[in-house]
Amino acid sequence: MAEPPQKVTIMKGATADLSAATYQIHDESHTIGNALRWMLMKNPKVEFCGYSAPHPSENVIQVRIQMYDNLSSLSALITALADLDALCATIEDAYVADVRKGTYERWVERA
Amino acid sequence: MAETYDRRRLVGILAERVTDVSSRDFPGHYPGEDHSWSLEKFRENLTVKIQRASSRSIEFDLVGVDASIANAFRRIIIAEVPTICIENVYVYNNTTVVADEILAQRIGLIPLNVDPKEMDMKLDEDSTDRNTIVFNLRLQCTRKPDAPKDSTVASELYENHELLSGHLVWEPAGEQAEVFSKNPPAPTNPNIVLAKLRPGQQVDITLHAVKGVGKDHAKFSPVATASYRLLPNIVIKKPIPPHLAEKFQKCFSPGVIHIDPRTNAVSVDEKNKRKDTVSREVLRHPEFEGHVELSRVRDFFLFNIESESAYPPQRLFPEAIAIMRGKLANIRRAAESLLDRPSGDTDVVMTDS
Amino acid sequence: MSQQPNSNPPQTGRYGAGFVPPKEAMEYNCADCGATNEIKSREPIRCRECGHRIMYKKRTKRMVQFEAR
Repeated sequence: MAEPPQKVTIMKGATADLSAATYQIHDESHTIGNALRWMLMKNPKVEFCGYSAPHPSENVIQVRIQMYDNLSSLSALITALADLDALCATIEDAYVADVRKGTYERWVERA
Repeated sequence: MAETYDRRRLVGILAERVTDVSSRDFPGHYPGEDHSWSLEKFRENLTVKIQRASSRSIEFDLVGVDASIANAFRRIIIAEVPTICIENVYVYNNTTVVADEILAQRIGLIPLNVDPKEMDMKLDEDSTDRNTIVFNLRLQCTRKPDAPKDSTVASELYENHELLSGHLVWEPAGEQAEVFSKNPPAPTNPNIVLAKLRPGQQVDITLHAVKGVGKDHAKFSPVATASYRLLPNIVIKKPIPPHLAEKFQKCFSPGVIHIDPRTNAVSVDEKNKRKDTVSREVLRHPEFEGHVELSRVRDFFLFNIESESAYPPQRLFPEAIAIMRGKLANIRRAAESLLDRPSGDTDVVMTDS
Repeated sequence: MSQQPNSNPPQTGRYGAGFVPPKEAMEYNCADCGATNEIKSREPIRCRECGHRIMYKKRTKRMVQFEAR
């Protein structure tokens, strides 16, 4: 391979305005696939979103996004990624805050 | 007073089936309701509560997230949080009954106490003091000269009759002696038996430990288990007749059902209801039909993480979040670069699958 | 097998001076008593200690590399 494969590519068959497109994400799995699909489906402008991991021999996932009102699915994808990041940050803050509070039961577990 | 949950949050548990498994909190599902993503609403509904922790494991509640999010973190903890493990085994001598390749495989599984933050991933390039830690493993079994004559106990008869993880000797290289001065590399548990020896048998092995992730090989996984389950919910619809109280109690895990010692009135112990295994035993008895409803709360995750690595258990979850955010940033950068394609060009970048 | 020089090879010639052709004794372990035995080629395979006729070859002195997988 001359150059490493691009992380995200748009697959053949996307509409010119990208209102419906399938994105292939390299080196990702259900971990990102399902979370990303969920966040995209939280967007009211998304008509349809689904993902698949086509075959275990290929380390890729494919995310299909179809938009209402000919909006760009690429923008929706980027927004969803940003929202997921904010979600992660919120959970992290809440977790760290509660660990710091330290109001949990401590017990001794033998090795 | 028993906490009641919105019916929409419940996964019904019937004798032979489950109901309402999938989440439906999406825009357009319920007419006239707004279910679009809102960080403010999410933050309001989110609860993270550590319940119990030891030096090896942690239990906490993650409430108000979708299964896809909770599952992503669980998957990352198991498969993508890096650890240090022995990867290359150089056998100079091994006259034990354990074959070289078997011993090598066993050695690879030893959890090491090296903080992965201190090391780089070794990506095909040469070994350096930043990506490889060297150990030596040398042992020779001998007879104890002063062993009691009639003894049949190996530990009385022989010196070094067991090859243990504790026999690993770290060989500092380069800056390592300084970097790891506070916490010298060693196995987290020195008592793992790798092979049994008899007099005359010996091993002489050099080992190289590197950083890796669980998706490459399970030995790199930082946890014994990282799992979640949904909070069980038990609702008593009709009072349980006092003479059946004890039978009813026995249908659940210990501590879940409380019986008033004076009146024999039956109630669910709110603190302990999480302990229930939801065995559905109560649904098998006709006398309890219609008396109780079992369910689980769809967005109430009871996490249990058992660390088996250098990570303290409470550090694993933030570590997983950091990796998740790294992935998202990476994909976002790639997606944003697609925005920059020449304007006016109606042709999109296309690839054949 | 045919490559092995067996009967009184010339001390000069293809082998340089001082090179001992592989007629040297090899060490073997007795399968019965574990004693180390030096056995030259063509010698009877028999333990000097116990007379057992099964011998084990010693492990290679070379390093062997494995992946811990």
